Amino acid sequence: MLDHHATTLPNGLQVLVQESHATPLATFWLWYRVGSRNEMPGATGVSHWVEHLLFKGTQRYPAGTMMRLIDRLGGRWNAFTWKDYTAYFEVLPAERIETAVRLEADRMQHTIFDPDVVASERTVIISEREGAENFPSYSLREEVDALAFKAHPYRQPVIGWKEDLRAITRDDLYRHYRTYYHPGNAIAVAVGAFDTTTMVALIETAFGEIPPGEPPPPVRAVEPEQAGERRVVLRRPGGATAYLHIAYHVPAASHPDLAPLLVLDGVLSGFKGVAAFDGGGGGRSSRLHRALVDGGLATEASSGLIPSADPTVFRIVATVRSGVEVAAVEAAVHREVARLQQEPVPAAELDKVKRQALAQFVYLRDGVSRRAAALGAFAAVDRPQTLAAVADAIGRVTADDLARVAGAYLVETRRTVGWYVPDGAPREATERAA
Amino acid sequence: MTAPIAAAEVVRAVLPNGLTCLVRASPGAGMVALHAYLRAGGMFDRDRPGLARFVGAALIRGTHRHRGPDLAEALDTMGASLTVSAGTETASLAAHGLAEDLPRLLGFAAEVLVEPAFPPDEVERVRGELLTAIRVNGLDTRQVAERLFRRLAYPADHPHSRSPDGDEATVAGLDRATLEAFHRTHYVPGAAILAVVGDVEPSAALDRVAEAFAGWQGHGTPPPPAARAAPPATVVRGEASVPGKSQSDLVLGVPGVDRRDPDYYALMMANLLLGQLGLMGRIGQRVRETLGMAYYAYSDLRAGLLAGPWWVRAGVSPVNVDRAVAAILAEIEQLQSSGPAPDELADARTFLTGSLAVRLESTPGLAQMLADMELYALGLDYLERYPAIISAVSREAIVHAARRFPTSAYVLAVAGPDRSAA
Repeated sequence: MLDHHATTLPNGLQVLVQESHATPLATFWLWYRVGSRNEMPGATGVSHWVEHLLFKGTQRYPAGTMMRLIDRLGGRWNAFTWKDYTAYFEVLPAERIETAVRLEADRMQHTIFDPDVVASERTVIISEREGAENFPSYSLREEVDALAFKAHPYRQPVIGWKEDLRAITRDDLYRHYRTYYHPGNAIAVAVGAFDTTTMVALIETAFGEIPPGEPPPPVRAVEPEQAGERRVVLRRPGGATAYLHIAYHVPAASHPDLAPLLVLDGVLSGFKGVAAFDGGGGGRSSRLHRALVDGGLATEASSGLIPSADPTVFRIVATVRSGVEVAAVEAAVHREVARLQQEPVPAAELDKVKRQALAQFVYLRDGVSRRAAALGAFAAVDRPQTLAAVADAIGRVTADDLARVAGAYLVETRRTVGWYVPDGAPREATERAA
Repeated sequence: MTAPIAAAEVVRAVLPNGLTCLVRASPGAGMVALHAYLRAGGMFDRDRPGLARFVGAALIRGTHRHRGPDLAEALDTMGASLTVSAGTETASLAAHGLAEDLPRLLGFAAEVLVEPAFPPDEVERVRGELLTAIRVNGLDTRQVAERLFRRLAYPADHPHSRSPDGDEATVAGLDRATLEAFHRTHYVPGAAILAVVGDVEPSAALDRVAEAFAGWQGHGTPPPPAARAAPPATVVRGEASVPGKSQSDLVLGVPGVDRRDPDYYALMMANLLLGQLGLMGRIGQRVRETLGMAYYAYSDLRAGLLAGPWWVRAGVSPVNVDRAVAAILAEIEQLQSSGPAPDELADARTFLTGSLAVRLESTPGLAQMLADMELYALGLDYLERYPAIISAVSREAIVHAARRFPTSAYVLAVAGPDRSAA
């Protein structure tokens, strides 16, 4: 089910292909190992901005025509930037996928960085940031990340700090593009109703002649071990209720504890999909839901861990029920975490989470995009084989493993606790005739 | 290219109790998805805004056979998902699970729809969650702008004049008996649709549905409220200031059409050109790409059983609201006066017909499409006829449709930082 054909072109492009004829569709993804992890202070947000500029055209596919071409062929397309990677994808009727492969090869090398376009995109991205700022839960996450990491660039928001967005120049963007957008720093993933050999040949034809490029500068920063709990309380108007956000330092995707941590996440709030940014399953019987939501303390409660290139954080977040003190919600979270450390998870509960994981791997097969997303994300942060290895390892996780990782990672000295508390300003919007 | 759903692949049956059931096999999927519609949306709230949503949210919190936590445990143990939510026009149940679990998944779906118990402690919990959501939405600029738009664009007795969230005072006061009565009246098989798509054998799946829902009785639902909305006679503006915000969200629009309107496809295509195709159509091209003013600027036509809004939505810096509105109106006028360019229209047509398979990539997506086909009486051969429907929409029809969004008479609602001092 998770088998794929893997090859690497002489110029360094990693190629992952999975043939699947369940639907007459195919998807092509191009992943670059670049994101906010690779950014310097003063230029945060540069990776995400470059992503926007890759839609602005090349000589062959001028501005405005590029994605219209995919639309015309009946396709779907998008892109996203994360801390560890930037990914571009198209989903098309299988017989038309060649267009996506050629388009991605072209914009890897030939994107035009027009100064006027850069200027107009600056305000678009500031608008994107300000839209996110309207949500207090977003601002709280930013505060927690900036506090949880003091040396590693995971402290930086993917969208970038607003002052950096005002200062970044066209040349900064172009340099970033040249540094990170080449075959040696990229992964091509294709899933769908095609012949594997034909698809590999198509990718070779489109990308084979592109020069390899210099290896990008390594990320040297190593987050020092945390010495004690860190806390932040964000108070400002704009929110109707309080939010809790706790982040615990955990290892990178390459660490063998990834599987037990994903199962632990499942015990806390239901096993999630493993594709990049996949939604969760049910989780209403999970421990956090029982304790916080059924317990009348919160209206939403979840946990999560995104497999990452470097040591990252495991998050527990909750929307505090109106009228409840955030301290009470935090205390309930600590009780649940302590229980994981002190009492073995019962066999039936562990089996339930493993069954959820099994179902999520079946759902991953539905359509073509989610498989490509999962395969590409693991390839970008570790190795593509990690996806299948994690699926196997989940089946072997024991109650002892869960108690061990809960005791090793979900502890006071590894945690940053953030509260958002609405300021005393009016709790309602004020309307006026305009 | 073959249609993602062909009439010959669908088994449709009306059970003796009136439930309309549709099944379509997707061999090899390994999974199964359910999508049900009930005539139980907020349009039936009448003077109790929030009632339908409250009932929908409470259904999975306990039945006469299972306590809420036991239901959650059973679904989680199957790795399945089952949710019920009420919108303005309908309530819907969406569920998916492994194909082998279809009988149990249907069993739980039936319990939730037919035999909810509304346990008092769970009802209070749901009430707290709904009240928190109403308060959070009350400071969410997108939601505030939408609610203001609805109030200004529709008469007070029109279902689209308000959000199905309801209001704090009503939701705080609804009692259990009222929830039960609403459920009895609106969750009836004769007005319900259930679609099943997945790795199943259709006739066997139909038998499972019949078994699971055999005990469901009751018929008829009260007629929906009168829902006539006159287009605005002039420009109507409203503005809400929300403390602690960076950006303003705006909603600019008019009441649109319902799904059976003869002009629906022309409006749908006008809307596609205006604010969706490519990166959010012509409006996205001007407001985002050319002017750099917004991360999002798109249009949407909410045509359902009723004539929902046809609106343009954008998030912009408070200082750019007026410029963004002017640019949006200019694009609408442009489409009305010059119509689509030939290549633009060709692109729109090939996008709509060619992208069906891509838009219906997932099993839950197919299940919802199948239920939609029944809800809007589109016919089981709808997706096979779709290319012909689209190619029959003329350029003139699109221009005519675009003129149903007058730039001299619309509603504009803005929510964000206080602009009165600016």
